[in-house]
Amino acid sequence: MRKFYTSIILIIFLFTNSCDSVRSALGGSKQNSSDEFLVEKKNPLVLPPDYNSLPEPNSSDEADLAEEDSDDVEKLVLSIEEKLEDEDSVPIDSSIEDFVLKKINEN
Amino acid sequence: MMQYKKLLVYSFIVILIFVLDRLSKLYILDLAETKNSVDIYINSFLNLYLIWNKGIAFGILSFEENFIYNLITILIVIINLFIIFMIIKSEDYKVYFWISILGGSFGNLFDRIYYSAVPDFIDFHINNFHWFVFNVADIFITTGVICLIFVEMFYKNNLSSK
Repeated sequence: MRKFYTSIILIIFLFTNSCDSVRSALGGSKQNSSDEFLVEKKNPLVLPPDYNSLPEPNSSDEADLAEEDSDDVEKLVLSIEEKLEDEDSVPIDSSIEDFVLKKINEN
Repeated sequence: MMQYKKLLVYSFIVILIFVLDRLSKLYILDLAETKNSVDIYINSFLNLYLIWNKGIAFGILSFEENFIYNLITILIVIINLFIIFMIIKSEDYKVYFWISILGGSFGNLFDRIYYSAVPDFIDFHINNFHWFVFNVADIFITTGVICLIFVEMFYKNNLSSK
């Protein structure tokens, strides 16, 4: 009974008393600076305007987009190759030669 | 009539402790308003340093959440009602120890409700060894609790040995 009574008194002590550790008094917490002009104000964080329209990771749309991109790249590479092949088929020297010969004939 | 007189004396003691605590806190808070912070050196053992305690004893249960804070405040109100019950029930001199606890508890409870935190400002230390920062209400509560435990431990032992 005595232990019970003592423990109740101790619980009462814990809840009614309000002493605080010296840690918070001697530097545990930040002290308020009175000079507000030293504080550089940061811009608030804002979401991009089309944030909701951005694809979500691992979604099927993203996979499709990736495939389309790879197709586009392939097409582009192929078209460039074809162009180069066409240009290679007609030698530059011969065109100039033809041009010069035409001019001579005209004269 | 006797009961009424007793009640008057008990109430007077509680109010006296409450007023003493309030005056000390008002003085410190007034200093804090004029000087922006309170850090007064009195002697090599004692400083006045204002901090706000949102929790209970020893800074336990200090949370930013309002729900927990309100819950603890309600618990303290219930504990105060229990102390009043013990004052009514006690017949011997132990009632004065309970009154001492109640007066201090009212002082801290008032701050919890009014300021949403309890100001502590008495920083007792020996060299770099600092005791917990406390206030006048804590002195009365601690004295009452120590006396109650002391009586429970030793006075009852003497009675049983006789």
